[in-house]
Amino acid sequence: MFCGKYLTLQAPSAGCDGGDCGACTVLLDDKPFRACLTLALTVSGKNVVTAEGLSQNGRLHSIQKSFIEHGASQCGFCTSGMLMSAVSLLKEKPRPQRQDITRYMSRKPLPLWLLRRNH
Amino acid sequence: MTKYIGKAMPRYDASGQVTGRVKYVDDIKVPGMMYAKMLRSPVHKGIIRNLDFSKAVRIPGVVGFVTADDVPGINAYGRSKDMPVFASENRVRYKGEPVAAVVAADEDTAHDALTKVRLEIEEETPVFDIFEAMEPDAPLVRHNSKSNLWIHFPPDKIPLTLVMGDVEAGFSEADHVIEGRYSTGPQDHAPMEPHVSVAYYDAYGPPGHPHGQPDHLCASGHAVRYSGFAHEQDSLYWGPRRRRFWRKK
Repeated sequence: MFCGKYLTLQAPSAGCDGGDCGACTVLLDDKPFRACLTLALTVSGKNVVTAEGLSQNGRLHSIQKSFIEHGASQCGFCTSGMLMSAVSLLKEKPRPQRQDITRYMSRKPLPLWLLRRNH
Repeated sequence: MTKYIGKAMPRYDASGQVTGRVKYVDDIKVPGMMYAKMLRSPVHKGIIRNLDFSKAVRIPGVVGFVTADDVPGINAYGRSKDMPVFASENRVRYKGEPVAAVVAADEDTAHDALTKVRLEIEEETPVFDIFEAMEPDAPLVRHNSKSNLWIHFPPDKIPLTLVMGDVEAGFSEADHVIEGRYSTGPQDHAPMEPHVSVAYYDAYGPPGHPHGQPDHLCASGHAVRYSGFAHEQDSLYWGPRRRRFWRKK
């Protein structure tokens, strides 16, 4: 995990290290990416956001506030991945329906799917 | 009390969790920290014929290795010799059994070093089924035992037979009698956090604060026990409450 090892960012957790669990999800130019499957070199010049970057000047992002309010952080290990996916979903669909959320939060082959869509 | 009852209270550690400030064991970094990686058995059962670290220790950054010979006292988790820390008496009894550990200055080097360790295992016939293992000519799981039976109860003395009412009468009156063997599968939860422990000596003297998932039967417990900390209970860092996953020993 590049983030953890060299940038001392600890929010994206290395859960499975194989793209399955999504605990390491970060935003790469507003799109969710599995950090464990993304080579650091390939994100050169792109905007990477982790859960640390969601709060600005000590003010929590509304998603973070909502996670606290609803007790959604649970044990916290994969929470940052869920946050990043949720933020990205809201950017794409500001008023998501229930099925959008289920589809979005549980889709698995995220990096491949996104690469196809972006390029 | 009425302040809290019936009210949704925020978790005390929620703000740390949503901002990524909570430290999990994998996030703990100690200056000069070394990384150990387990060398695990690639076969289900066998005798270790050769274990050669000479190539592995020549990789820059590799500090050394540990095997069963380096474990002080009993080579076992807790008190059961059936759970050796490293494969004992040169025997492996399951695929993935730890054989040795390589220690290096960083995780990647430790990984690389593992691939350079020469491990030769003479494969033996494994046994996978509990009932096959009970056969008289079954391969022995513990090579120095006479049979695979750990405890044996004669049929009339099985300690956990539950009987309610008149079983015989029930069977004789039943329209259908179905016989079978039923079992409940093992259940295990799968915490996402990888199994890691961190142990270190504190500069302020003993006992120090080894970090990890503490348990008497756990790897971090071993770090404590074998690094010479006097009072393991006092010296363990338990972390925030919700970080303790019982599965993680």
